[in-house]
Amino acid sequence: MRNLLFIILIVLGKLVFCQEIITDSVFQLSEVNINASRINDFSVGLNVERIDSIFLTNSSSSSLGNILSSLTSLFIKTYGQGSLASISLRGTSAVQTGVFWNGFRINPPNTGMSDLSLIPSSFFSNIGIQYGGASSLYGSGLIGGSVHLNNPAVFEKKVSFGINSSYGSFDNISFGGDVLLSNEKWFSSTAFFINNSENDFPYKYVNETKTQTNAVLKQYSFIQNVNRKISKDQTIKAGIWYQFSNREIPGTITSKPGNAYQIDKSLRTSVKWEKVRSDQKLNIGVAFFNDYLHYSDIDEIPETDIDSEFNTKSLIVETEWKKYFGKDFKINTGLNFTTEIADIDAYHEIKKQKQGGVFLSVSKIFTKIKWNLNINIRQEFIEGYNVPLSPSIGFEGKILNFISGKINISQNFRAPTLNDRFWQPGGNENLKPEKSWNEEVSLIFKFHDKKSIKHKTEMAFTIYNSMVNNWILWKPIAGSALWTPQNIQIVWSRGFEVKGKSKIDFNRFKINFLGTYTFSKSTFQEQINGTDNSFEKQLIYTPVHNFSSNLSIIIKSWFLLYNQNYTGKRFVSSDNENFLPGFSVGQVSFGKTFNLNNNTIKINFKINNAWNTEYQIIQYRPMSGRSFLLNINYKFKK
Amino acid sequence: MKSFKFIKLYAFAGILLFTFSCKKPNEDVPVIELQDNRVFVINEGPFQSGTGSLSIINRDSLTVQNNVFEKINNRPLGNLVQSMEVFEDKAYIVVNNANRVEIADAESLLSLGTIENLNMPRYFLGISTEKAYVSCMDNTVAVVNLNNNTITKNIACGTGPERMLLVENKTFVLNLGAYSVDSTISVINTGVDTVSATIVLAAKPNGICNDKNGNLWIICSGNGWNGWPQASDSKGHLFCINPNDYSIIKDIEFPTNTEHPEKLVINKSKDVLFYVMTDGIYEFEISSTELNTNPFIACNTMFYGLGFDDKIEYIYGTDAKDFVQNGWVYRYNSIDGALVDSFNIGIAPNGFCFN
Repeated sequence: MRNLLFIILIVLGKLVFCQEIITDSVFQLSEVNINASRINDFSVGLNVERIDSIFLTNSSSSSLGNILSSLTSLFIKTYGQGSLASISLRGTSAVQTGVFWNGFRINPPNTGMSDLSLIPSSFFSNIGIQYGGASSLYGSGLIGGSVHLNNPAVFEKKVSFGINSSYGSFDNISFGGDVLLSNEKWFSSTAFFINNSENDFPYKYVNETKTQTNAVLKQYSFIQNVNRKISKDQTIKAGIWYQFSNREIPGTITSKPGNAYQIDKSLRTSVKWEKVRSDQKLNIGVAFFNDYLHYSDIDEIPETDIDSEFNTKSLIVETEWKKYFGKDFKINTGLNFTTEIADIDAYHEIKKQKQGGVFLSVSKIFTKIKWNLNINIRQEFIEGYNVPLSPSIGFEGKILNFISGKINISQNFRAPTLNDRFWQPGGNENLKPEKSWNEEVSLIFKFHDKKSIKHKTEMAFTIYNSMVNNWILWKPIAGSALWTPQNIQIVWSRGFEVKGKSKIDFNRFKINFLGTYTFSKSTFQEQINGTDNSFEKQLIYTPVHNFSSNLSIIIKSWFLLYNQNYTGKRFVSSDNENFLPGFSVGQVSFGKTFNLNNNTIKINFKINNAWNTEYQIIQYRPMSGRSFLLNINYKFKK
Repeated sequence: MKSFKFIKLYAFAGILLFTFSCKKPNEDVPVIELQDNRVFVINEGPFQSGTGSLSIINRDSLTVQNNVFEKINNRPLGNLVQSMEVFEDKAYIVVNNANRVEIADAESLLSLGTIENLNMPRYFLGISTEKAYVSCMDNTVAVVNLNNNTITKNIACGTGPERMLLVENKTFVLNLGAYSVDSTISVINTGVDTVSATIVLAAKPNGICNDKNGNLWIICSGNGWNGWPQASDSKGHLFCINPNDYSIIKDIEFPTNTEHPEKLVINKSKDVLFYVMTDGIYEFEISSTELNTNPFIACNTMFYGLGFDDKIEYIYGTDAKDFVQNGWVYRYNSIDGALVDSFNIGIAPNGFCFN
């Protein structure tokens, strides 16, 4: 540890300026690096998982939702192919999970929930997942964890250009491209993605084969990142990301065929100025996000027509300063201001919400015992209500040569969404933020001998516990047909995660295995009245068991990827009387890479739901059976 | 040695994968006992993507059987079961969001077909052995030929026609207002299937009954939501009208515009009405001119469904709880309002069918 620190301090002056790059800390301890972002540098005791590039580069046409559901044991609640996909981390809900781009939270303020089905995974070279409570680092909504999307810049002379096209079952056509240009002063990366899927897949329903209707998805998106080194120690980083989608909303099996459609437009921009010295780093960033959604369900009955527009804008200003005092003590402090403006028909008027946050982190390395202590504290100020202080304490280090340990305790919160507060009728302006205590302990084992780097096996065990008070639940008002959100529940989430990772690398022959099992129990702890049978029952659509396994084998230029997931039964009624059975879905992908000078062509054939499993994630919303996808990728690199 | 360990690891992973790929056989379907002395409970089901269901309460054995239609016919009823009527030995189950009425044998509950192409159907009313009406949210009452279960005509009514009552050759259709507000009743001449009159009452006519004197009682909720006071709220009303000349015999106004009464049932001797408010079930004697200020059956929740069982003279109320768990049916003695018993039922119970 001490040696590492010295090396890093020595090379600091020469370090490239990189963005909010996420490094995997599930299997290791937080790294010491002046350029590391808050999520890596001050998340001592927490697990941050980086999606392995081996699996990522072979799924160029997949959405972020698809990637996370196949590569991790997270539960992605999806309404079907091309439909809304939201994340559930450690038995919490999507509004309790933050999604960040270049370090800024992109969850739309009205729903608080990011739709992962519309985010192209190919846009980001670095995708990380942080597990557990982290309000002390990022503020509201980090009770379950967070997802981080980044494009780290490398200032070296490089030119690359790629195109990717795929064709799959049910007329799933996608086309994407990327250009990367960089030198010692500039870094530019550009990417676009176009997708059209009919999603008219067959499904079985009571001995009958039916075809999914009204499920067409059309989308295009574009992202541009420009980083400019304006002097030896200063960099400006800018990014713009636009996405458009027009999709039909299918009905359920048990209702009339769907007729609705939805248009989503999102514009996201961010600019950051950064100054790095050998012992300190200062940055100031501004981000502006605009999310527009148009939902329309018009049929022969004008009285029940819905035609609504939702338009939200967020402006975020953040500044942060990090300073090393000696080699074993560092602090990080900063301010955040966010203004959210929502123009939503159901609010009856334009609503504005301002919030601010101030945060401070200190980290101390006890070099003698090789343990790192980290204390974070953050206070948010949100117009209209009091927000609890969010402190956290983390401690991690080596126990034995091959065993390390981590522990983290934090208090976290989630502010009500604008819908919770202002939706007419039903919105409740007197809501309090949800407040939680989160605790977790991890043990990490590394079973590889130091002489050989050809084998590497690591395992991580984590036990977590969290108690969320003032849990916001939409409930009917005194039996009337009107629903309103209320702070009436207490939710206890606890469980454990087992992750294993193994690598064998003999240059021309590589095997990579990643397996994760999650046990997550999330139960209501408040009995609303005597006959409320949701008391001490598992939350609906929250599987207790989740297992994910991924295997990749590379032999010379051939590759095979195999992924098998199991999602346990999910209750669909809050008294746990009704449930959807568990299911297991497999995915096989294989192909070959052709290299010619600077050109690479990769052809890859993928079988989704390889064993043709019949399953539903949401009740009565069918999922497609076996389907195929052919992907051709061309890349030029210099 | 080292590589052997790895082989073991992958073998273990392989076994895990295989185990999770296996399927379990289906459970045996339980046998349903259908008896005479039964009450059907209509459960809407979860709001967004679920299915509604029928439950049966046996008056003798006091047992409950849930989800009976699906258990007998091996398929769910569909999204949002709104109502059910038994007519000419057939059960007609209105599945609102599936645009259909399911027809089943009233004894065995075996499916006998469907009435399709209805636009958001709400209630079924048998008119003759050959004809029935189905109120639909497309502002019409569909005329159904019961010989072939097809729609022969759509009669234009007010906005959001819901409950209907047949009195001789007239059908009184309450226009509740769908997602907006209506204050009228359409009177359909069942001989020619046309609207012969429109009666203007108060906002949101919600329930209708006929009494022992042959008069009609209609409860109007008034504009607005319980528990959500707004400037546009209006008072609820209880009307008594003459079914022949539509003259208003009584118009009793509720005291405040923030409480909105719902549902209306009448007892066996057709002289006492019951309706629900947020604090329980209220009683009203038809000879009276004033509303009771206290509930007949006090309760801390507003009943989602209300029924009167003529056979045993009990009042039935349903509590839909959070609409995502099984609800409850409470039975009360209609003489003193005392609670008799309660049953755990399907999701979102909204009403009953006493046959």
